[in-house]
Amino acid sequence: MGTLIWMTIALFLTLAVFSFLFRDNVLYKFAEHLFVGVSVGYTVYVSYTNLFLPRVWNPLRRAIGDGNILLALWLALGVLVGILYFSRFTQNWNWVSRYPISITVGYLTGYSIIPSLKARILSQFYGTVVDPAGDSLLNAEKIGVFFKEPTLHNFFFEAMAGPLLVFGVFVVIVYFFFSFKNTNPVVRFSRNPALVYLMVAFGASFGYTFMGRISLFIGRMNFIFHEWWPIFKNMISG
Amino acid sequence: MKTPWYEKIASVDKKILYVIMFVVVMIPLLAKWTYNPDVMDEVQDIYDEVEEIYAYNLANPDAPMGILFSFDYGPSTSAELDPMMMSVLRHAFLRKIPVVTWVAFVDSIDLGKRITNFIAKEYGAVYGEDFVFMGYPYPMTAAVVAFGSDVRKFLVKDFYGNVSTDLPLLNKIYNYKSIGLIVTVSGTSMPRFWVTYANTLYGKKIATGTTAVSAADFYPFLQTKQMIGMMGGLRGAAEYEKLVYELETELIGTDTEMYMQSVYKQNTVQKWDTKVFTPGYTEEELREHISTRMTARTGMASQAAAHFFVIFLIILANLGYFFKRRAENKR
Repeated sequence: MGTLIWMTIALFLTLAVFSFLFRDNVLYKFAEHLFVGVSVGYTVYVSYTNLFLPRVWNPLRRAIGDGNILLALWLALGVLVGILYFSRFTQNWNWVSRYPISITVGYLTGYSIIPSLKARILSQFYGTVVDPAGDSLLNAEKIGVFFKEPTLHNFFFEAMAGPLLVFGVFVVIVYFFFSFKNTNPVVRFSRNPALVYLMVAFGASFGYTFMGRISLFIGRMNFIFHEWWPIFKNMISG
Repeated sequence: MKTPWYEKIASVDKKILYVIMFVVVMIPLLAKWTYNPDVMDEVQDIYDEVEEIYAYNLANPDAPMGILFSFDYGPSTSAELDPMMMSVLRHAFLRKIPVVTWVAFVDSIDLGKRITNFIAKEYGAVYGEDFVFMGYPYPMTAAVVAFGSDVRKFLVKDFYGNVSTDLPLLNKIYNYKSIGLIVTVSGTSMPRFWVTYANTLYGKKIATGTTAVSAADFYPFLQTKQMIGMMGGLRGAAEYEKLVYELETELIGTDTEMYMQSVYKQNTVQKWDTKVFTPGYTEEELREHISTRMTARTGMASQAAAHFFVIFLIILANLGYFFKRRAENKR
């Protein structure tokens, strides 16, 4: 019975959210506010029980109980620096919050600057020059293979894939770098093909986004008709 | 004067379209039509990698490789991402590959725990020996780096409060040398994070499951082999689900329900920790376990119907626009 009650509440909230499609209304507003409130409350509770208690409070009490003063001071120092975040709520002392922010930013920057450079710039740059097999993307041999065996696969996936990728990266970069008025012939020539590349990319993103949104809808309908309904039906039929 | 058809379709109320879309999506869902997708290379690559780990473990039973699963998503995207996480977990448990799971966000703890235990239960996996759930390792960056040496020093206890060094599985699988694959299922940019640290610093293989909205962003990482494979949206989930379904049919037959019940019929139920899951099933639970084996494929039938409907609307709207322009030019 308990499961059915909770699932019926979920069903009601699902329908309340979808009622927005008809028009903004009080049921939607109720579901929206409840969602925000419950999310924040849940996060605070889980952070307290899964982070603060096991990582700070319990070790601190243990350290004090064991007489391990250095560890206790170290933990207390972390808590004190964290508490400085709350200075954001005061007008005179909000500058103090910059200390924990700078420590966090400095720590993460130190960790990430080198691997990020390699992962997101150098490797991606390399991938625009060389294909996964290690051959140049502008490989004349592959174009030669197409002329020997002129099939669609050889054309799109062997001969043209690399050159199209390199050309696309080039024209799109030119398009964004020279987005102001420019009469240079290279810049002028790049505009239309760059727009085609961008439209193809946006089209792919749109297609995927549509799929994502429908998936969420299917998820809720699955819940209603394949989870809630069988339990409700069982309950009614006794 | 009679209103031409192209004027009429331009003024159709959105609510009518919503109702039609609802009907279009619901018919395949209620009729339980399933979609049989062709498996794309990027999904097949993940499957093959798991199979390679299985083959390695058969050859090296004393030093097996495990898989680290990171639940990098929350309840808001679980409709899309749960099916892919469940499918890869099923594959790992079917092949008895050691499994380590954790979550990247504090509000995913319950979700990560529930799904890990849900799938482990289907195969009678024993907590601490076959799988462990490490909860929410905070800060995540430090946890990922700690896995480079010995994660037990950073995560002294697992989610349930067991000391990490007391868990037999973590005495075999405690750093990247014994991790064959990292599976990150995410609705955020977390796969980039894994590429940045685990792949770039430690050369680990990364497999990603991502929401459809984010899928286009991760294709460049496949091109550079920084990710070995990707499941994009519900379609990717459906493909992996199909592969695992075929494997499961081959290994345990088509009567999955009987198999799952038989796991707990022996007199060895005491080996399962009831804190993790209760051995045995109620009728409701059984139905849930069976239905989650085809969630993505059933969903894809509705997806296909919705896509056909939208394509039809796009063509119709463009035709209407074309005729309207022609009529205006004639005037």
